[in-house]
Amino acid sequence: MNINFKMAQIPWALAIVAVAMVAFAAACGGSEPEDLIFNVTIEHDAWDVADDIIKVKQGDHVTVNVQSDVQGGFHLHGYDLYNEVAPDAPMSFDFVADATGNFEIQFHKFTLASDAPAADEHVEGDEHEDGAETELSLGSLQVFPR
Amino acid sequence: MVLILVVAAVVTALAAAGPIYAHGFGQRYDLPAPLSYFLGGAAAAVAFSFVIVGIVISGGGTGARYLTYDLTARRWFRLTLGSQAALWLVKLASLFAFGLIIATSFWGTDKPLENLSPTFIWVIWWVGMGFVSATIGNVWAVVNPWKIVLEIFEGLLGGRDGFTPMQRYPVSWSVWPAVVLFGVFAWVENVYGGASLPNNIGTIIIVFSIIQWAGMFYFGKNAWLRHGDPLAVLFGLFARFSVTEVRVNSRTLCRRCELDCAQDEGEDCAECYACFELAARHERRVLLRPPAAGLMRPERVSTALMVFVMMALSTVTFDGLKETPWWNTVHRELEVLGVSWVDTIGLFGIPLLFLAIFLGFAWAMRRLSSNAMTTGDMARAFVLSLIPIALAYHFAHFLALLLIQGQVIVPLASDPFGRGWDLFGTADYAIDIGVINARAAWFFSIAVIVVGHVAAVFIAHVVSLRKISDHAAAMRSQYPMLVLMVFYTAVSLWIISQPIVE
Repeated sequence: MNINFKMAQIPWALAIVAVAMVAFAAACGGSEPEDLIFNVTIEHDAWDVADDIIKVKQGDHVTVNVQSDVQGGFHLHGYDLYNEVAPDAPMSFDFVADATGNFEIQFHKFTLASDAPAADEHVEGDEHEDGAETELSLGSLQVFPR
Repeated sequence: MVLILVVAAVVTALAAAGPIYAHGFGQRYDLPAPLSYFLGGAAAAVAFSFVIVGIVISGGGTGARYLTYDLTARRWFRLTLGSQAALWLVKLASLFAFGLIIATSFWGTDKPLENLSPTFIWVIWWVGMGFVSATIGNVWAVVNPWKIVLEIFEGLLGGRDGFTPMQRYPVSWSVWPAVVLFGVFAWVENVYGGASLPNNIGTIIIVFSIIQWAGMFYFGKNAWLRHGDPLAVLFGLFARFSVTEVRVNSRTLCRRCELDCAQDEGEDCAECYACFELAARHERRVLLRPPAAGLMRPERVSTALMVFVMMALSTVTFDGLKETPWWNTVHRELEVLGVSWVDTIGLFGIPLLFLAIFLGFAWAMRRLSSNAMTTGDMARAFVLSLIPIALAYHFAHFLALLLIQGQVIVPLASDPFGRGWDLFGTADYAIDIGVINARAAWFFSIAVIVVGHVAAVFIAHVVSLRKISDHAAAMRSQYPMLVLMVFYTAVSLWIISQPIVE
């Protein structure tokens, strides 16, 4: 364990750094935006998405079709898209994933005070006189740079 | 004793309130860094380590003296940033913010995202003040609202020399009160689920205010700020990395002022606010200095301060670690085994683990350098050199949060209580989620971690040359330190590359 470091080793070290930088750059490949469709089913307070993450790349045109066993609101944070869905009314929305990042997806589940679901009764926001809203964290949308 | 009772009461009260998880607050927008960035960063860290070893071997100083630029000697500085008017303007703004936060905490809406308090406290103040302290300087020493309030009362009631402390601060206490209070603070921030609820924030501020004022009144303002106030100690440590410092140009004064400021081996004392206040105006200096120079000054670090640094380092790491899938699995499996309070055990267990590992390495350093220093001396001498790695991780971890979630402050400024006001016409501002691109964030994170690592390795080498007179032995002592630092940096990089799970 008697190594003597010398100034002469500095160029070598810098060369290693340079190689690492090139490796960085090489890792950034480019490709064309795609049209992506995700079919999502919400059942028993969870959705059927692998690892709970929808992964897309920046610029992709994303369509999400949502079915649910209960009434509620599907909320994509960041992009701030909120759409309501009901068992008899599947919902669909689309957007262009122009911002990169990790965006939480929540399901605002509406539960009515009386167990019998009242027909045509709209529950919105946080002010429900006959029901409550539970926020379930489903997972997230991850938009990676292209 | 009173302190411990108060702390115990706070913890019990908060624990009894039960964890109420507030969705949507403190949301992370950053993507896990890809493997190539992780490997590139690690390779760069190792390579740069060798570069520094090369540079230090071929020369290098002891860190006692470094290049400075005297801002106070400049007329423009004395008339602007350094003027009493500017300082009081900043202090008044700080007091206003302090009052406003207490008001919004108690009388605003209870929804975390629509009330000014949670975003201001946890994003703007907690994360932002860390960034400012580590880069610009110890701004907290100016804006600390508890200090300002006490100074106002001192000015009104205390006579020429302010309040006389009721008791001299016991030397044997060192910074242990700050260690205990920082532990409570870290627990509230990282484990207690209700820290984003406005009402709880208000209660925490009131309780903490009582502790602060009691401490300052009882032991004297500067004694408490230097030993008991966890925030002053923490931001003071962060500010050691920054490019400014305050200094008093008089050795006699440095020896005379109440605190242990004269321990520096120089002719003056740096970053000692008790001395700074005592000094005549012409003896006060505000200096520009190279980054991280404040961590290399020759000084005695107490055991308590070493423990404080270890806690600060590990809570910063734990904050990221607890969002990794790995911790999620550990958490779940421990709960299955019937272990509750897993996060609490993690929060307080990890500093102990860090400390044990660090002491192990200090022992190895002592052995390799065959030095007369004890393992404890070795650990205390080198503990500050780890700070840049923790700071770098703090920057990398919180950048996206500050830039994206921090924007919420714009609409909140117009409607701080969440009552539908629009004071400045910004209530409808929608946050720009594209303000930082994921790739730019990755580059920044990795680069900043590598720079932090480089600074750490450099500081440790400078300290070794000062502490260990035999050059070859000093270099040998650095092998274990280098291993530890590469490992610590790799852990930081690994956390950055992990997917975030709540």
